[in-house]
Amino acid sequence: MLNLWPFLLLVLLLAVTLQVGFLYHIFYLLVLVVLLAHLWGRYAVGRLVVRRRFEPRAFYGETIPVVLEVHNTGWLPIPWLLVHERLPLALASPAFLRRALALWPRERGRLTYTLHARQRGYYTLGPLTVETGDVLGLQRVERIVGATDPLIVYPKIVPVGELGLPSRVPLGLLRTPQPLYADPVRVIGVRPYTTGDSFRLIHWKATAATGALQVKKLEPAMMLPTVILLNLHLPEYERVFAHYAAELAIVVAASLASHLVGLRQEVGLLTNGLDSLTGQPIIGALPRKGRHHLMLLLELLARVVPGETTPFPVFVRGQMPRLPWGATLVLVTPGETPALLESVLVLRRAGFSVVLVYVRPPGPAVGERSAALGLPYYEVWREEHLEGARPAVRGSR
Amino acid sequence: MKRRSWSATLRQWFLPPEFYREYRPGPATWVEAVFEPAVLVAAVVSFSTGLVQFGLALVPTWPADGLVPLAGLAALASFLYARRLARGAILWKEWLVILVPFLLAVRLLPYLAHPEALAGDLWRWWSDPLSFFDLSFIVGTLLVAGAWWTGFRTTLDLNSLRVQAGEILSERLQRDPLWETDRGRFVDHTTPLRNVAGRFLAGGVVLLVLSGLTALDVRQLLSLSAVVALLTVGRPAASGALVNVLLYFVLVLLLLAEMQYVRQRTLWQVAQVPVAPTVPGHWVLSSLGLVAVALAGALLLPTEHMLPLAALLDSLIQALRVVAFWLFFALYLVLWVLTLPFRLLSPGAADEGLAPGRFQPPAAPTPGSAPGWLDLVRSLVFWGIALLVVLYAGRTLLSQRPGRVVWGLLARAGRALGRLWGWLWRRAGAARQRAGLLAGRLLARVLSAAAPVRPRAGRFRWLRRLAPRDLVIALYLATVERAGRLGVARRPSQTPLEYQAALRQRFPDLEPDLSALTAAFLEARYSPRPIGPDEVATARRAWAALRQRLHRWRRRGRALGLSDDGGPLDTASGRAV
Repeated sequence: MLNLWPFLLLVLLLAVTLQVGFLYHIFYLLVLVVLLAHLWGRYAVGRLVVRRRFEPRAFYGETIPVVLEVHNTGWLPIPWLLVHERLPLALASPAFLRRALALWPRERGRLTYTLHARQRGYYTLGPLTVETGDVLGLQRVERIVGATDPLIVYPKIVPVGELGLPSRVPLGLLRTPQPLYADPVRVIGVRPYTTGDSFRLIHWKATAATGALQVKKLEPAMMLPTVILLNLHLPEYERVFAHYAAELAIVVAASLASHLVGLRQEVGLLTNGLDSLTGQPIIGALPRKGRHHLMLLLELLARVVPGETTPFPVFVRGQMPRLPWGATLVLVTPGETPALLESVLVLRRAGFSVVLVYVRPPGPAVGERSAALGLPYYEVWREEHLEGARPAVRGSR
Repeated sequence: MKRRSWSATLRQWFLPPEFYREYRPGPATWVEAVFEPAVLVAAVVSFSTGLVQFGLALVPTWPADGLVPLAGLAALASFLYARRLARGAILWKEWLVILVPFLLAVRLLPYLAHPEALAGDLWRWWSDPLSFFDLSFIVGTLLVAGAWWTGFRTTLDLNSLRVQAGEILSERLQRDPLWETDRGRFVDHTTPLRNVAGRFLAGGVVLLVLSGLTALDVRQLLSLSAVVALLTVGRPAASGALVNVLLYFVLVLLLLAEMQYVRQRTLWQVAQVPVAPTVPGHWVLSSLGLVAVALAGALLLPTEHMLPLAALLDSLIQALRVVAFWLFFALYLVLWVLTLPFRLLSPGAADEGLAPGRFQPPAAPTPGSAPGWLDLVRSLVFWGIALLVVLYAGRTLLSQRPGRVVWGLLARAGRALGRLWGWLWRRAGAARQRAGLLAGRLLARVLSAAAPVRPRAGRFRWLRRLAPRDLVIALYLATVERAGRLGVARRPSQTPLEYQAALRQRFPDLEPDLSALTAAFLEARYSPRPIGPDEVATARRAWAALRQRLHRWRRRGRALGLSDDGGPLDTASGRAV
């Protein structure tokens, strides 16, 4: 950068000494140039308003276009402005955006860039650093403008085949081999009225058509309030493929939740993972219906990261009081351990149905003890295993 | 051979060298290519005008016709020459070839007005070549050479602002993050900009001083006639100094703005930052706007009837005194009115001494002695700005380098003083030696003249005090000194035996005393055995004999017109020539 101050002082000295008219003019000229140059940059930066426009939620694999709008709200032009936007490394390469532009007074500059949702997580776009200065290089101003904006990339969701999850709760939407309960919304036909049938079940149209009382035949169904318990206690994963296995476990949990919500079931999620924002343990959400709840679960799964937290067996027993009665518990965990199996047996004795999903490489030892105890379990090691997965063992009800 | 097109020729002469693959000259490039030489030449012409004006103010008969355009031409030639250089090499032969026509033009241009004098001067130069180089020619040469040098260095700096060879890496190297980190440390391009700024601002100071001195007895007017006088070649009138100086600084500011843009663009190119196409236009207009606003403000602010700082402070103090008096008087009046009822109710209260009428305001300044309010305001504006500049400059310097400012200044002053002292000491060294010798001889002569008797007794008295070993050594050294005065000085590398051989060769009749004295010296100097009276007597005898023979040799040489060391002798003064 240039430094005109010594020269300015020298001109002042000459003007005062020689007292010739044009020396004062030159002094004023240089003073005004230096003054304007120093003030210009600061004024310009103070009048910048930045806004980002983009979809703050994205699914895995999507492309996210971002429009960065830089608005010069001041009355001075900005001859040059270098903007530097920090981008998440997992979503963009390179992990920054740099542009040089110029703005007239009140002009808006628009910059567009694209992010690729290659990895689930909670990301922040920005902050935006701007650098500007005067045309003579006397002053440079660098400042962070605007706030950061969050972007959530949901985990990958893989289609899930039938899992045959049992339940002991009345009403529901899944077909069950035990036609003990009927769902009044799902009508599968009509039959003649017999003594003892409820009047609410009379099919009036069919009755009018046939001239005899007809009643609705309802599909037997059951409701599966399901709670997915996701183990993200990192020491329980094998070190060699801990990261892959943990991510796969999250994919399993997300896929299961999506599948069950698609079946109009109540789904909840509890995990012993950590919140990537705060670093604190993140518990989860109890079972609810609906797509909105699913998005909440997916957001939770986007933010959670594995870490050294509560061991899974301890965590599971600790969550027992919160679990709804008769819920089906899907335990997504890297492997069977005696402590885990003991906790599972406690859960069964408490009336919960438990299904185990082991996320680990297949092997002869996987699920041996679970099978011996009659616990239903599944093995998942690749994402494609989720499709058309069949239970290895169907445990007793 | 394929003839080069005009555009290719112009590109070669005017466009700066840029070393990156994607370089494609466009309209903006040509604008830069024309702007830079135009501003450079105009600034050099402006500076030369100021110099010539000053010279004419000193020596009105100075034949400075055509010097200013010649300087401009030299600057343009140096620009075109240096523009094609990929690196800043100074090839003196090429310079000489290019500059000789300019120097001849400097010498011969004045004869355009007086061609009849050329023939006579040509004959004079033929007969006395040195008369070709008169003061006028030397000054003109310096002016043209300075213009050439300025154009050359500035063009090299302008070239250095652009992308240099190797600064933009290939893709393969760009993938190496370590290389990228290291590379960023030395790609800055600030030095050329600082060089040009320093060069032209220093020139601006010189121009200000010279123009100020020129204009001290001339009222400066920004008038049409002054502009016309400035734009015409030949003798520029002194009244155009304001236009000239303002023009110079405006040109320098615009050049610096353009250079800053080129530098910034280069940094972006090296960092591969996409640049919006509107940036050059914004930069140009912003630069023009900045300079125009500053120029307008500079012309509107007061420059005449300025009070000196002392007078201004005095006026301000007087004004403050008057204001303070009236404020206190008003306050007193209010208190007097508020306390009036209490004083009226108290019988016998005397308030004559408290009546406001007894207070007199300070005497107003007599008309004509105090400055008018308009002058006061003008002076306040100027001195206020000056004070702010001084304070802000001081704050900026101290905030950037708080401790180093003072210590840096002191260290620089100390180093400068040290260098000055060393130079003086070296210069005085020779004089010191001569002065010492002279003083020694003078003292010896004074002592010898003052002593009534030969100093032999005194000498023996002195030698008698010495120990035997020291006495032998002293006798040998006295002989060496005497022989050295006769031109056979002992070199520091010579051993006593080697020196004995040299003396024997020069003065063959010194033997055998020379050998005896040398042997005695060697024993006294290096032998641990005590030196007895016999050795001392032997040494003394040998010394006495050698002294006589050397004295005889000395007389013989003077008779032959030789000095003691064998060189010619000035017979009049008796000293060596």
